[in-house]
Amino acid sequence: MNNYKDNIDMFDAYLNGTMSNTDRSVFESQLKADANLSQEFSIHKELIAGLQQAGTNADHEFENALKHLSDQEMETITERISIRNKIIPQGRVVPLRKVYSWVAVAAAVVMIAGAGGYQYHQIQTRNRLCDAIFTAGFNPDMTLTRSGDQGDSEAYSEAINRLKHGETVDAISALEKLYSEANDEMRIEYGTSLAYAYVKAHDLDKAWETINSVKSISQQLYGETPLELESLIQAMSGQNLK
Amino acid sequence: MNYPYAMEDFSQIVTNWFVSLRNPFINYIHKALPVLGLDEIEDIYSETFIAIRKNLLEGNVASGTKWKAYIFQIGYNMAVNKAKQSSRYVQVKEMTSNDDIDATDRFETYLSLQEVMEEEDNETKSQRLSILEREIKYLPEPCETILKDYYYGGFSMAEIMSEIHYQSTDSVKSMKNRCMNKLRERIKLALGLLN
Repeated sequence: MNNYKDNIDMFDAYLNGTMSNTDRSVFESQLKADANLSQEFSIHKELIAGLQQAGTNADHEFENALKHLSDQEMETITERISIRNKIIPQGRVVPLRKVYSWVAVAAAVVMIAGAGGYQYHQIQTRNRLCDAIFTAGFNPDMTLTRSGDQGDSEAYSEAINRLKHGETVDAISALEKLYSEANDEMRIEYGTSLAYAYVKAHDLDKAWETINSVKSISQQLYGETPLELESLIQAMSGQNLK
Repeated sequence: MNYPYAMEDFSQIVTNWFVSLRNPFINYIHKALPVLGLDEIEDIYSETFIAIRKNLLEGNVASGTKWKAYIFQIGYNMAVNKAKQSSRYVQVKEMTSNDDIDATDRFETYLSLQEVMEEEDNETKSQRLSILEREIKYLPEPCETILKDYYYGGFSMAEIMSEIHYQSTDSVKSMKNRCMNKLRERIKLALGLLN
C-alpha cells in the first residue's frame, strides 16, 4: 500500500526533471510494476492539472478585468485600499534614519503618557496581527462545507455565520457550548473554529488553550494535527503571538 | 467582443486581486529589501498595479502571463530601484534555495492537460476539472496560496516562505505536501472514490 503524502516529493522530482537518470529509471520501473503507485501518480498529475487550470482561469479573468477598467477606477481601487489599516510584520528591520525619528516620537510619548503608551502600542500591534491572521486564515465556506458533509447542526452554521459577520461574542458563546457538548471527533472541527473566534476576539490565551486541546484530541484520534489548525498555529507562531 | 461581466464586476475582480496580494507582496518585498519602510512598500504596491495595467494596455505583456508572478517581479524591480535611489541599497537577498533549481517553468515541460487525461472524453475532463477547481477554492489557507504558487505560479519555496511568513522552507514544503494530501482526499470524496 502506498502512502500518497510520502510519495509527493518523488512525484514532483520526476515531473520537475530533477531526478537523476538512475532514480528516473527505477521510478519508471516501479510505476510499471506497482498499480497502486501508478494510480497515485495519475491522481497527482491530475491535481496539478487542476491547479494549473484554476490558475489559468483566474489569470484570464484578471487580465480581462484589468483591460476594461478606466484610469479613474484603477486609481480608486489603489487609493481606497491603501489607506485601510496597515499591518506591521514581526521582526521588522527599521532603517537607521527612521530609528532616530521613532526615538523622538517614543520620547515624546513617554513624556506624555508614560509606560502606558508603549504598552498600548504593543496591544494595538498585536490586535492588528490577530485580525490579519483571522482574515487570512478563516474560511467560512470551507468550514460550512465540511460541517455539511458531516451532517452537523444548524447551531454550528449559525455560529459560523455570526463569526463571519463580526458578531464575535455571540459566535464564541455558541461555539463554546457546541465544543463542550460534542464528541471528540466533532470537537476537532468546533474547536478549530472556536480557536479562530478567540483570535478574532484578540484573546490569545484562550486561543492557545483551545488549539492545544484540539491538537491533543486530533493526535490521539488521527495521529496528526488538522490542516486548518496547523495553518493557524504556523501563522500565530510566525508572528510570535504567544 | 462581448464579455459576460458588468463593469462593476471588473472593478470587483481587480479589487479582489489587489486586496488578496497586498500582504503577501509586502512580506515578500520586506524580506528581500528590509531597508525599505512598510509605507514605501505600500506605495510601490499601488504603483505596481498602475504599471502592470499600463503595460497591458500598451501591448507589452506576453500572452499567457502568470499575473501574480508578473506583479511580484515588476514590484520587486521597482523596489530595488527605489532602494538604489535613496542610497539604501546594500545587497538584495536572493529568494532561492537549493531545492528550487528552475522554478519558472516547473512542471510545464512534463505536464499538460492533454497528457494527464488524454484517454477521457471532453465532457468527463471538463467535469473533473470543474470539481477540482471547486475543491481548490475550499482549501484552507495557506493551502491555496502554496499549491497555486508552487504548481502554477513557478514560485520557489523560499519565495513562498517570505510571502506567507513561515520560518523555513522545510515548513513550507511539509505544509505543501499536507495540502496536496488534503486536496486529494477532498477530490476523492467529491468523485465518490473514497468511502
